[in-house]
Amino acid sequence: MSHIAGMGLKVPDRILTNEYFSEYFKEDLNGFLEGTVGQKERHWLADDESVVDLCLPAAHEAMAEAGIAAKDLSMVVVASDTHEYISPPTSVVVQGKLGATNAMIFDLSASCASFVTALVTVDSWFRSHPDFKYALLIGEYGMTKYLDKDDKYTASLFADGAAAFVIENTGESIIASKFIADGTYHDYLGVFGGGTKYPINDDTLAKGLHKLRILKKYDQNPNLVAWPGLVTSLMNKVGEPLSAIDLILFTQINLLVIKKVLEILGIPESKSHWIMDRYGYTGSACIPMALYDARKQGKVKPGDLVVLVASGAGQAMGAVALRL
Amino acid sequence: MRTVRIAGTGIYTPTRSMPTEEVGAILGIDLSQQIQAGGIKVKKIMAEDEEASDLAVYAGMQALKNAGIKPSELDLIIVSTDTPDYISPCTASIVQHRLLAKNAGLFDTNCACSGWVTALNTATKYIIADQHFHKALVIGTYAMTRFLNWQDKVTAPTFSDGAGAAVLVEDESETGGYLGSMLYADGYYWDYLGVYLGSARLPTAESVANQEHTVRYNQNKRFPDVNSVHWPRLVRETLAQANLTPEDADMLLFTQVRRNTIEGVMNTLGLPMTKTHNVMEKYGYTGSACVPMALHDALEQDLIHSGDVVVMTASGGGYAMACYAMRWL
Repeated sequence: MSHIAGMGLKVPDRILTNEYFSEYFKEDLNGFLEGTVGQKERHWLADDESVVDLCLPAAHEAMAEAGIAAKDLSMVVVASDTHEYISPPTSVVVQGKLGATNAMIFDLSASCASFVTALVTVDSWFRSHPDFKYALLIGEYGMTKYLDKDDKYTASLFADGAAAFVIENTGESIIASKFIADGTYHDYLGVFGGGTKYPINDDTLAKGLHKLRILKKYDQNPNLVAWPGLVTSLMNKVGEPLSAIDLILFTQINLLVIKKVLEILGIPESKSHWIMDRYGYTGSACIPMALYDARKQGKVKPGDLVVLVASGAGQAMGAVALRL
Repeated sequence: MRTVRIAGTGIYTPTRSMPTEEVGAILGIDLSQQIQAGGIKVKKIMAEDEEASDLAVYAGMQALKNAGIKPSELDLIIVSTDTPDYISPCTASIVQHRLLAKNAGLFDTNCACSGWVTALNTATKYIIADQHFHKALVIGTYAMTRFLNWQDKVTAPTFSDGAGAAVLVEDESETGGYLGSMLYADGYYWDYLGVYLGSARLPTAESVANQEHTVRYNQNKRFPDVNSVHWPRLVRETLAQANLTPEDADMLLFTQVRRNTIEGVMNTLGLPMTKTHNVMEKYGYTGSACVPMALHDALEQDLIHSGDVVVMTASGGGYAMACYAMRWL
């Protein structure tokens, strides 16, 4: 199957603790941040940094582990909804700066489900292209650039980071994947300004629509509703019981929800892993960052059955099963 | 063998039209030579209350109708654009909602104006790789007038709005379907042309006053004629994957940015202009939407028939190129 031959992770240097936000908003936020979503600290991009500054070191680390050069890459894919620019795509900037001159490029956006969706996409490309040996897949997140720093809820929740995988084409497919989406939620949470609906002008800037906004609230937690069924139907496709899973990783938005989903599925917490305590919520980067961290801590080894479950605003969900 | 065919196509072009000459007159420049050589005679401009997803939905609905497929039958929707409705979430989620395509997974891809051909290729890979994917809707939507500096003499006359879509379905044909593809990119040119808003450059009142939120090009860096160099090679290498040569191609469609580039490429390939089809004269330049718009128009004019070898080649800023060949079923 598509084999992960190298991994890299990069977060910005600047660290913000829960205490910083409690002080800034003059209110104790630690109860929610640590007690509910599981966050203790997170990293933010500096004013003069942007997502490509995270992508490049993560890519170099992944390529070094894989023992390959940029010219060995056939694909450079960047999965995110917080891009370097509107156009051209972030992937072409990364391709140019890495000197990956033999690589095709594209960006893929399905909000925080981007990385898992892109992993399946790369695997699908490999099936038709035995000549493609390696792909560089980067999940990056620079959402703090779009935060309203005075909005208590979003300002303290979102963080920046990137993780890169070098994926080797071994001729066999990822075991199984499953997508579900419900576009009726497209106008709930997002960065709505800056595209064609609310173009950048004085009015959009005055209304702050170029910042991350929650315009409508969910009646119930969509992940709690959908994840158990998504994992079950994925494992039906795999043809293995839930107990066969060695490691299961979820979008790192809310630790209590993750624990609840594990409980519903009857999967012990020891078979999952989280990073939001140290990295906050890093959207399209959080799943590869969590896998990187789990492997570093020895929680997963070659041959293990790994399940990745991602959710993004809009809403799009994706799950994939693979052998490490 | 498991392969794919295009079951239906659709387009949308805005009602508001402006002759390119008139744009020139407003800017105080004579564009007659440019119009003569490049072929872009008109500018199509979407309405104030339209956005990229509107264009995409109209084109998608027509493609579904022509394919005789219900939205609920779709497994996948890919929207290719670099002019999305929002920064996040993706435009595909709006399209999925408005088409009521409730069983479809979704995502956007962006590789600027080469996006639709790459997205069609991606949908092809999904259907060939995974038997759970049967039907995909692939839309290119382009709303670049919303990012225009109307005072700019180079970009203002060039960019139009529009959308094109195709329904791609699984097929077990032994005689046709997907033949091959080639992709090429060179990110050395990332800072030549673009809309440089994003995490690297956030809009401020000052940057908006300086028009930095519009599509811009680097005054000191002129794009070399990379299309004339690479398109013939990409067409040859793509067809070679199916043991074919350019002479075997029946219809070749290219990014509709300059007609004389297409003429030069057809000449290099030794092929007559009857084997290509251009729509920039009536739809303007529509970026990631122009290739499916040309495909739809060629089908409408009965220029593509069962068994024909169709080759689609696209280029986008940054730059990235994509070439895709199929034998029409």
